[in-house]
Amino acid sequence: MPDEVLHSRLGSLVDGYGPATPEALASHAVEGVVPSAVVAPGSVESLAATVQMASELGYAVIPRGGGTRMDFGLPPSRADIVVSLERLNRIVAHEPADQTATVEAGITMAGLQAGLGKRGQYLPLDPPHGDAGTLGGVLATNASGVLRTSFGTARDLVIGARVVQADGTVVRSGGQVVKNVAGYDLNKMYIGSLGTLGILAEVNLKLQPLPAAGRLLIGTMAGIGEAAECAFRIMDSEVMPSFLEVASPATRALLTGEADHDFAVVAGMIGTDETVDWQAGECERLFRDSGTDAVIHVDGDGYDRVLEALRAYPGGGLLPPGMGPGVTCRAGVTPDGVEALFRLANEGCRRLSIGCGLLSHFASGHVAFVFYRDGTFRDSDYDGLASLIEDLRSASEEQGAFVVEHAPAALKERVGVWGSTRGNRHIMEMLKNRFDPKGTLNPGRFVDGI
Amino acid sequence: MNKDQLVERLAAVLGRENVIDAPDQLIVYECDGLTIDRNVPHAVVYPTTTEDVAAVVRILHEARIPFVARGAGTGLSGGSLPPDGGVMIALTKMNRIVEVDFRNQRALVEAGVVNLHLSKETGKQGYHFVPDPSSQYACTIGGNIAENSGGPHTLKYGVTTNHTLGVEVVLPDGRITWFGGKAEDAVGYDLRGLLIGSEGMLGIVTRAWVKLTRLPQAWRTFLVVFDQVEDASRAVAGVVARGIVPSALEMIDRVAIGAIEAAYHFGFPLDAEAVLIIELEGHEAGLDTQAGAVAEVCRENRARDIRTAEDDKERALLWMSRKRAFGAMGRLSPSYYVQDGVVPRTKIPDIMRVIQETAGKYELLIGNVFHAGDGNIHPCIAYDDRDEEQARKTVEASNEILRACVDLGGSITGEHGIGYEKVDLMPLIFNETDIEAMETVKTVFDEENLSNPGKMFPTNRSCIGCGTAELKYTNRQAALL
Repeated sequence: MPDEVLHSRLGSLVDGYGPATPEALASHAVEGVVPSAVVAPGSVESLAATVQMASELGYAVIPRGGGTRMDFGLPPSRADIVVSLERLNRIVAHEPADQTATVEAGITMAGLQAGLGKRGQYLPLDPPHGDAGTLGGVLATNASGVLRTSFGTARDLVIGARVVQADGTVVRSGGQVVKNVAGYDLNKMYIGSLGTLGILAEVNLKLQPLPAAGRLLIGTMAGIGEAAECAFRIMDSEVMPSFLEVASPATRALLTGEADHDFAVVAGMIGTDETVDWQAGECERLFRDSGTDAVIHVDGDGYDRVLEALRAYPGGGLLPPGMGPGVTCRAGVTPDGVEALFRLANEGCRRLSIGCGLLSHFASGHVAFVFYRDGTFRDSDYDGLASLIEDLRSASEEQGAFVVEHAPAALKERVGVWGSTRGNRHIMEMLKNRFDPKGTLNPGRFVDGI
Repeated sequence: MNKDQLVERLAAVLGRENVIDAPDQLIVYECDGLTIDRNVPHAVVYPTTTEDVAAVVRILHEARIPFVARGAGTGLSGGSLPPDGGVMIALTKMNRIVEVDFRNQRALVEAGVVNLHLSKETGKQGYHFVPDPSSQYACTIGGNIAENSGGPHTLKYGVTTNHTLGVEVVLPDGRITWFGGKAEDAVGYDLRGLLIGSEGMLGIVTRAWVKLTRLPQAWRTFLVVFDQVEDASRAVAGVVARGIVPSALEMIDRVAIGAIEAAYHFGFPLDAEAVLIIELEGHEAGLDTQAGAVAEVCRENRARDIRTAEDDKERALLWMSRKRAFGAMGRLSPSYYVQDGVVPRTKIPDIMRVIQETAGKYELLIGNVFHAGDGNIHPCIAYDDRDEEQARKTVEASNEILRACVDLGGSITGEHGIGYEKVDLMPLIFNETDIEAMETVKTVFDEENLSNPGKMFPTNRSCIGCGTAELKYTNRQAALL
């Protein structure tokens, strides 16, 4: 199909559409695959019509939000039309008394939180790339941050959705209310599916009131063993922190400005002043019981700064000067599996003489890895990195999962991205085939090359 | 394969003592908590291991015989109503708590473990399993997973899906697999999330890793008395609007108060139009400040009296009275029909008005005991099942209330499920495309439509969108006569 046909069809479906320059198309390439068109529909209907046209004519569609995670996943097997959701960026409804909102998926996380904050609420979801990233992108990748310890992930916060399916039809799942078991819970299936089953266009969210106060305590620990023990002690206490992080020395240096070989445990509390005060006092006692006197209390502006760093770090966004871009990975294990991954990563990086930043949302067993060196990684680094990643993956997969989030294409080619779907490959392939029989949406990028 | 051959093959796998096929014994399994729809299964089997379940399912799959899994049979939407000519797979003998991992705050349980048993087992160490449906002393965790059950305390902490890490599943062709597991963040599509709440239609859950949650340090439990339902309803919205998230926020109206008081003698005020049970949980520090704010909202909404549960014993009695409220309703009439709908929480005053008007219009007695904090209503209609006219009115009144829920932006079920009861109400909230997406999922897991067929999806497809959706009255009528 000549590009003129594509451009004229898009022109009739999306107001303001014009063919992009070769430079613009190149800048929208996904893992080296350059699209023929970039289009930004202004309504769900226009988005649906675009996808329908693509499906009918056999074009592959690459959904795009803020463009912060476009290198996530495997390279697409085809990429014809990049469909940006940037114009679908409205808060359609916000009902503070119901603690719910309906929003378009192309809204940036920063825009969403600012809008909700005007009426005293927020979405307790704080993934890396939080400012420029869109809600739709966060949902497609099921990204999460420190608050998952107390509020869960996107799958715990989305109560309904309007989804543009691969043939352009629009389907609704869930509803507007916080409790609802009518029909299968398709929200769960779409979240984290990297847009391969449908494009989330509009979502209904469960919100929280903005907390009156926030404080965090940073305790310094001599080794990962001590840090993990301390974190377990806090988990098992009555403190019930809103977040509980274990950080490697490089990460800790970023948080406190002290560069040495110590690890850190970060416990965060949000709520009223009274509960935060009590929790902080109790938490300090637990830190001391764990053998550290080096405890820093952080609140006010400092709290926001550290929290911002904790959020941005796993995305590889805060490397020391001259370093990077890093290779980032994540693992999902049980809390008692975190220590072993820290040891494995630290030893591996020491051997390879590369930088190693580690941060665990400890209670959920989530570990973020950031590997870096001065400048960019070179071909000669890949052997070592690949074997380190393989070791981490096999250790993680004894219990859970390991995903390579951001890495040079040549490295991804060697180690893959997703890891094992644990005997469920057949069901996942069938879901993809039935929901997107023509392979219109993000072909090739998801698990097992789906 | 005839029935005798089938029983023989099942008995060869499970032992004869674990297969029931005598008509007088099968009658027990003809329905669950929704008693007006009944169907006797071909046979009932009691597997004791996952491998047993898989072996049974393989036999049934090969012979194309439909099946349904059953826990304690406490479901209220006919979710475990046996399919025609089908076999029931009862999971109550798979009731072992396999592993409690306090360090990682999770437990591995078999599907037939009774919900409350897990909380009792872990309570000594300061933990519990959060979902607490009113039937928790009997219902099983497998059933909770199938229905994505809630309960009073899910207001603050979320429902079953928010507390389930992974499920071991016997797929409808007999293969065994895990969706999710002991750890979070499994890669690929969230099959775990898709399966939870799928009402046994995508496979049979045999074991699960569930989260354990630290028991709160302190709580305050209040009984707030109102002279007007409207005032109580406004107080509910007021508490939530104030940014307070109670762990539970329940409403009981005058009709239900009378029934509960007669049964359990808690000391509810019989002349009140409505009471709220409000529970706050958390750290001792700050709890009284929050309690003060709650009391203020209640007084602003003309609460007559605010009583505080004095000790654990009184608190336990209050919750026991609440959770067994439906049983108490049985004192008012020969039968009762519990409904389950949802509205946005700000619409509680509106839906309560609709319920009162509907009761008047159909001359029915309707009691209300429900999770007001998350807008999840449970009107309980008292009727005489020997009176056909009254039975018909009961179903019509139910329909009207559920339609009103949908008109107010809500849903037709908050925790009981669609089951068999509400299949023909699905078009009220989902259009044909929406339902087709769900059916697509069903075909991926269960091409032959063997696992709990006849549930969830509308029977009368030509009816979709034509606005005549209603509860399945004809079956009811037949059952009632």
